[in-house]
Amino acid sequence: MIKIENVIKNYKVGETQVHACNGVRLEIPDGAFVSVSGRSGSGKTTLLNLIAGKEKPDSGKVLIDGVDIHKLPDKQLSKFRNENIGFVFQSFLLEPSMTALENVELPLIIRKYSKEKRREIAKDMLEKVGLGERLYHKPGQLSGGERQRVSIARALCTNPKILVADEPTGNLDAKTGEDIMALIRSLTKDCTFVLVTHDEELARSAPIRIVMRDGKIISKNG
Amino acid sequence: MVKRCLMKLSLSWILRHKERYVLSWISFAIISLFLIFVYSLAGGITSQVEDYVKNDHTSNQINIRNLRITEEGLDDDLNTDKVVSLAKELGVQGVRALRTEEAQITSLEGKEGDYRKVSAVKYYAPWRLMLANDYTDATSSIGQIEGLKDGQAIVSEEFLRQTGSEEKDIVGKTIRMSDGNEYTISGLVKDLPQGSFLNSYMVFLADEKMEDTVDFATFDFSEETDIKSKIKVIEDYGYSYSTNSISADRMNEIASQYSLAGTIISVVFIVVCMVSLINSLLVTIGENAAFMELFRLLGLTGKDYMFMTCFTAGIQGLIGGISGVLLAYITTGSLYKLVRNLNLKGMDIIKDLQVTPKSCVMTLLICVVVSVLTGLAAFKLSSKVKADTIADSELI
Ligand SMILES: Nc1ncnc2c1ncn2[C@@H]1O[C@H](COP(=O)(O)OP(=O)(O)OP(=O)(O)O)[C@@H](O)[C@H]1O
Ligand SMILES: [Mg+2]
Repeated sequence: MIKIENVIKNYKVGETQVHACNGVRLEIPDGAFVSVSGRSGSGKTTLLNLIAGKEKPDSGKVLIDGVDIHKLPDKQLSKFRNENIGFVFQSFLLEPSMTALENVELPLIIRKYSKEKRREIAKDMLEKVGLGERLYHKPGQLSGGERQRVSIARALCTNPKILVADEPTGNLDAKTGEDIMALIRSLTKDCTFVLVTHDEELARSAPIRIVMRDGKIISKNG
Repeated sequence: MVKRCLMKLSLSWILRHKERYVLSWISFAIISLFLIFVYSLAGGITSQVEDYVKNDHTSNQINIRNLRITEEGLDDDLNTDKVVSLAKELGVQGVRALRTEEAQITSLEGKEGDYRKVSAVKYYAPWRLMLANDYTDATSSIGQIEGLKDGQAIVSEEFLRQTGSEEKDIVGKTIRMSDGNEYTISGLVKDLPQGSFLNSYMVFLADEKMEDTVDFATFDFSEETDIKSKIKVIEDYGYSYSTNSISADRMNEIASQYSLAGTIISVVFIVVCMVSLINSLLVTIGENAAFMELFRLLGLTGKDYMFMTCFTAGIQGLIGGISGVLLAYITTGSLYKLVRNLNLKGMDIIKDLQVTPKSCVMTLLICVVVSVLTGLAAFKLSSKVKADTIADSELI
C-alpha cells in the first residue's frame, strides 16, 4: 500500500516559486490501477517522482508498505527501488551500445543475479513482450513501439510490486499505444500500477482516477 | 559483476566519443614521456656518480692549491714547510707534492724532430717516502721511479705512443727538456692502472733537491675519513681545495635538483592534463546524466557512477601513459644525442641514456593515480554544476 501524506514539493527557479505538489494526500491499495491526469504542468510527473523516490519532498511523507522511503539512505533507497519499483517513461531510456537483452538485464545485474539466471529471466521477459526475435538488436535497430516494449520488459523483469509509468504511449502512434497499454495491463495484473497519461479514454479506463491541477488533486474517484 | 558491467559500459562510452579524449591522451603521453626521461636521466647521473666515486680512488683525496692574490700578482706557489705542517695537522698518512712543468721535448737522441709538447713532472724523491701505504694504484710504478738517479728520467707508455718510439729503443736514449737540462731515459712505466694519477704525466725526472715551493699537494685519506671535516682546516690555511668526494656530493645534489625541477615542471603539466581531462569527463557526465538517473532508479547509487567516472578517467591516464612509454622507447636514441654532451666538472655525466623499467612503472602509476583523482574531482564537480552541463541525453 502506498500512502502519501500531505506532500509538498516546491521548485524555485530564480525569483518564482512553483508549487509542483501542494499538499497531496493519497492512498493506493496494493494491486490497484491508478491513472493520473491533468493539464501540462499540473504536477503529475512530480507526484510520480515522489512516489518512486526520485525526488525528495519538502515536507510530508511517502510510505510504501509502512516504510518512509525518503528517510532511507541513498544506498538503501536504491536497493528498495530495485526490489520494489519498475519504471516506464515516455522516452525509452535505453543504452544504445547494449542489445535489447543487455538493457533488460541491467536491473538484474544490479541485483547480482548470476549470468545464466538473468539471461533466462530477460529472455523470458522479452518473449512475453513479443520481442523473442529481437534479443540481440540494439535500440537503434528497433522501432519506437519495440523500444518501449524493451523498456517495459526492463521495468518488469524484476517482478516489482509497483509499476510507475509516465506517459508510456506519448511517443507512439495510437494503434501502437493501444497495443503497449494492453501489454502493460496484461503483465501488471498483480502489481500496483500508477499511470500518468494525457489520454482521456485511457485515464477513464482505470478503476481509480486522479485529476491534478496546480499541484493539487482536484478529483478522485474509486 | 556490477563493476564489470559498469566498466564495459564506460569503455563503450569512451569508444563512442574517442575524439573527446584525444587531447587528454596526448597530454598524458607527453607528461609520461617527460617524466620517464627526467627520472631515467636523474637515475643515470646518480649511478654515474656512484660509479665514479666507487671506481676512482681519487675520491679520497684532497688537492690543495694556493691561489692568493698578492701585491705582486697571483701567488700560486705552496710553501713546502707549510704543506708539511698542514699534512701533520690533518693526520694524513701521506702527501704528494708536485711541481708540474710544461716541458718541450726538444730532442730525443737518435730521433731528431719536432716533438709534441707534453707535460712532464719533476718527481721529488724525498716525498715519495710520505706516500700512503694503501695507495695501491701507483705502487708498481713508484717502485721503478724510486730507482731514479740524478740526470735520469723514466717515460710512460703514453710518451712512447706520442713520440712514436719503440719500447726496446727507448731506454738509454737522451731527452732534452725545454729548460736545457738533459736526462737519460732509464726506464719505462708500464701497465699503469686506468685512472692512475701518474697517467697524466709522461716523463718522470729525477731531482733529489726538495724545493721550497711546490705547485700543488695531494693528501690521501683512508676510506673512512670524513673528507668534509678536513676541509675546515685547509680553509683556515687559506688554500683553495678540490676534492672529488665533494664534487660527487655536488653532482648528486645537482641530479636531485634537476629531478626536483623536473617534478615541478611535471606538476604544471599534470595540472594541464587534469584540466583537459576534467573537461571531457564533465561533458560525458552531463551527457549521461539521464542514463545515470535511470541507473539510480534501477538500483545503482551515486558511488557506482563515481566508480564509472574514475574508471573512465583512469583508462585515459593508462592509454596516455602507455603511449608515453612507447614513445620514450622510440625516442631515446635521438634524445641521447641531444643530451650526451652535457657535462659536469669536466666529467661526462650522461654516458648512456636508457629508459629504465622502474621509471616506466613509476610513470604509469603516476598517470593512473592522477587520472583517477581527476575522475574523482570531475565527479564531485559535476554534482555542483550539473544543471549547466546536462546536455541532450544519449539514450534512445
Ligand atoms: N526540476 C524542476 N525545476 C524547476 N521546476 C520544475 C522542475 N520539475 C518540474 N518543475 C515545475 O513543476 C511543475 C510541475 O511539473 P511536472 O513535470 O510535474 O508537470 P506534469 O504535470 O508532469 O506536466 P506534463 O504533462 O507536461 O508532463 C511545472 O510547472 C514545472 O515547470
Ligand atoms: Mg510530466
